[in-house]
Amino acid sequence: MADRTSLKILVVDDFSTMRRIVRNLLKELGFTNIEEAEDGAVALGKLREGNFQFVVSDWNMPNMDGLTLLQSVRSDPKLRGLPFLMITAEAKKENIIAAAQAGASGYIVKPFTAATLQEKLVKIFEKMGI
Amino acid sequence: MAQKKAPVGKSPAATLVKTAAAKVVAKAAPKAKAKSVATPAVKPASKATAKKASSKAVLRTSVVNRKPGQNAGEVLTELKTLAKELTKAAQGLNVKKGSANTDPREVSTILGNVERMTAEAATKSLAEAESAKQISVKLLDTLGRDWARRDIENALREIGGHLTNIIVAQEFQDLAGQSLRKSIKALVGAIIITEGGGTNEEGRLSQNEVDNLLSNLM
Repeated sequence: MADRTSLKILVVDDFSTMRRIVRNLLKELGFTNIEEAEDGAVALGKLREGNFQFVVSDWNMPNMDGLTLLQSVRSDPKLRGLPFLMITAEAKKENIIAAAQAGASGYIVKPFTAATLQEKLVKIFEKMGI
Repeated sequence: MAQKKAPVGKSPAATLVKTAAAKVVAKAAPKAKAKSVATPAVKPASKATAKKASSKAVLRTSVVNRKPGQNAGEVLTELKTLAKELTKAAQGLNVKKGSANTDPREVSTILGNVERMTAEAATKSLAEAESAKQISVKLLDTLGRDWARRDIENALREIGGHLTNIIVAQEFQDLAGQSLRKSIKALVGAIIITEGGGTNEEGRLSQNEVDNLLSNLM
């Protein structure tokens, strides 16, 4: 993933511990350009301002949840093509269906492993042709 | 808690009834002119539990038998006060009863899961740290006896792997935190939409099941 490591990634989660974990795992995979946001609203602001190429987001967050963030991203002409990976404790069938319908690029259920994250990232990159 | 509070909530109400009833009787009785009227009013009131219907009838009679305008106004005022106080007491009881809309069993399950998650994370972190320590001890030995760059490289990689696992193990904080938030909300009975069901195992899919479902959807 040598050519992918320069991608600018936004990690969105209201729990700082989880942001730190995801950031660490992404670093482990070679990614260095990582920023964080504590909820969907902050994330959307950052996405509209910054030149992000990938989003890793939680579902349950205050102010704006991950699904709304995903829907907002998909309805924004400038952001609609952004790869969006959900990492969430929401693991019910209806959640997965809702995420898929909203246009999620991947879905990881908490608790997850480093291997799962890597696998899903690779899958998304392959799909994107990166 | 609700069970403990219920008797406490009941007794003031009961006291209230007694006190107010006594007030009514006490005020009505001494001011009554004729003994024959006052006496039946007092006696049945003191045996209120024995014959409710008859005591009510007597009380009604005692009020009716009074000279109009003399004590009836006071009695009515007292009765109104009594009714208000009873309504307040009843409302208080209802509020307590109504707020217990959370199933305590759910909270205990949630907290049980939190306990399990923290225990698992601690066990995992300790095991990983111990493995990393063992490797570093071996590495030191290797350095003393036979310096091998490849060994050191491999050992450092292994240690790095264990450290990563320790980092990942901390994710329990997210799930446990969500569970605790949910429990707190449930316990205080706040009208906040519960976020996340990190703890509710019912209907949760595994990563494999999610992948299969998504492969059909996407």
